[in-house]
Amino acid sequence: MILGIDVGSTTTKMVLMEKDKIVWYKIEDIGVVIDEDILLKMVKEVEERYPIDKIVATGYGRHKVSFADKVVPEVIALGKGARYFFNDVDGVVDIGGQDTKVLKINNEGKVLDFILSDKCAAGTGKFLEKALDILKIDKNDINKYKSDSVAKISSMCAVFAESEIISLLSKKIPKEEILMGVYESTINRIIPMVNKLKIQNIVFSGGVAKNKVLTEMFEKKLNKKLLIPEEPQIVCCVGAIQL
Amino acid sequence: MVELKAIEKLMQKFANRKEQLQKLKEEGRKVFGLFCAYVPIELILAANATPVGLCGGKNDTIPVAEEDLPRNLCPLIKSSYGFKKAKTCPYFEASDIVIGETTCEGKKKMFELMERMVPMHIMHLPHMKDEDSLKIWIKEVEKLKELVEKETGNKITEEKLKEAVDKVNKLRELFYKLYELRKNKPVPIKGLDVLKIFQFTYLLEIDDTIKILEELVKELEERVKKGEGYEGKRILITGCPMVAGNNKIVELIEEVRGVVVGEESCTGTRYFENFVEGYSIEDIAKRYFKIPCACRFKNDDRIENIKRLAKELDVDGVVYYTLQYCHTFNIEGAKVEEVLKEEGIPVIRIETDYSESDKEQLKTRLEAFIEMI
Repeated sequence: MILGIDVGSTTTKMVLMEKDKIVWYKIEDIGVVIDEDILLKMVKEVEERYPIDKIVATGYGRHKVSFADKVVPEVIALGKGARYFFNDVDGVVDIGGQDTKVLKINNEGKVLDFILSDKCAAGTGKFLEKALDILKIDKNDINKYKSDSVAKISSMCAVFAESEIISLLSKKIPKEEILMGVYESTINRIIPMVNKLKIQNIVFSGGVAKNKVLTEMFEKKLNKKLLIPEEPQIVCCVGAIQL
Repeated sequence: MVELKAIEKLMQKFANRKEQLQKLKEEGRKVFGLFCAYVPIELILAANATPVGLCGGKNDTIPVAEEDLPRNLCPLIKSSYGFKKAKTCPYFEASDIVIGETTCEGKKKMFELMERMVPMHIMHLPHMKDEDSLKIWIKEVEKLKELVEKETGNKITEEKLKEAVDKVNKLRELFYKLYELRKNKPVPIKGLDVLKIFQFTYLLEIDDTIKILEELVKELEERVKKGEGYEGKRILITGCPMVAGNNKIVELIEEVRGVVVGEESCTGTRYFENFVEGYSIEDIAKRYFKIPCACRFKNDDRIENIKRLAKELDVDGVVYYTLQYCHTFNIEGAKVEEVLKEEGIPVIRIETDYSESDKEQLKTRLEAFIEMI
């Protein structure tokens, strides 16, 4: 069996696969700051239950996994992982904690081209998290906040958007409207990336893909359905194992 | 692989350069600080003076520059200005006069502020490439000649000018040879070494650089004969200059199993391509007028150059490098990307500044790119 470890910027994912079957997986709420000791402990726990033949590491903190047999870049893993979950796909949108990745892939899941959001945080998971903080909305309750009217957040910059949100709050605009505005500004950052790569059948992965309201808005703006795996956070990790 | 002897010598020369300049100045030599590959160094050399490049490549001087300059401005411009303001660059401090030129908006306006700290002469570089613009440029080069003569008190004779033209052409010839050698597989020299050569060529005495390059060519020919060199995905870098202090992208590419085999930049082909054909001011002006910087309007010869280099050097991919807020290179990138894609050459656009904060992200991107191609 192969164990995949994806040390992301905000979460760490572990997936165990036997050939093409996912046997077990786990998502830890700690990212790149994770200690190698903790990683080792986690691996040991898996080892007690299953035989591990090989360990593959990926993600922003992949080089932290010094005991891995193989280290693969996450962009390459993501393409492969998307293909694992779906047939007939040609693209991936992954909103991660640190950046947003848009990939064009071929039928084998090989990456043909990709765009990553720049070093600014707008349009990333971090930006959404920050917005939730300011709005005092619990991450687990996001799907409860929905509105037909969308507050306008014009700033493309996460730092300026923060002050925009505060000013909207002071104008007594309802939280859900502001949150919808945050979603919209996030999506508006990603759509040009999708258009640039001209992708049609898109896998949506990363933690943000669990956000139903955002996904719905995203699909409406793209005018198409997005393909979302049951657990969108492990796509990259599965891909790393498949490589 | 063992370090190239020529590179060791280059580093030594660089380490001693400050003292060497000091000594030359004590002997009465004038030093001209330059900002750009557009300034014809032949004229300065012909007047028995020394040209040194001044572009800043370090983050350290940016905060002091931002006291006067906006934050959203190219790091090269801020770093350069900061060096003068903080008086921490030995080349700046050694310069008797600084020659600037009207390339991009940012530099041009920065010069207006810099002029208050150091004597400057600004050359008008026309942004159009037509005949009328060339006439303006020839006139500008003539004006530079007068200025250099006045500053140094030395007459630029025909004989002196011929000598200088031949010397700089010789340097160009050596760079052409270096590029020829880089066509080999494995490539006999790392991109990082070549980058240092370009960076220091702007700073060292031309005679020293020529000697070092001659030795380097010999050493590399030996390596090629033995089949020694660097394997990896062959990368062409194109875009903004990477001046001394700014090696980030080349280091990253070569860390993730790429090897830089060419650079279409001012620290690359734009520095040496095209010889001065003849010995008149007009001949000199014509060569420099051809430099395909993105600040020029309809700069299509640059795109053709990139296409040609990608083929000649047989590259696996192109890294399009822009400094943050460098609008000209950033916008021109769209055209370059289009053309390279048509040719089936993979390209990745990288935008960065002098800080270290995005190193990991860039590494992820470059690693994926190199794996992809």
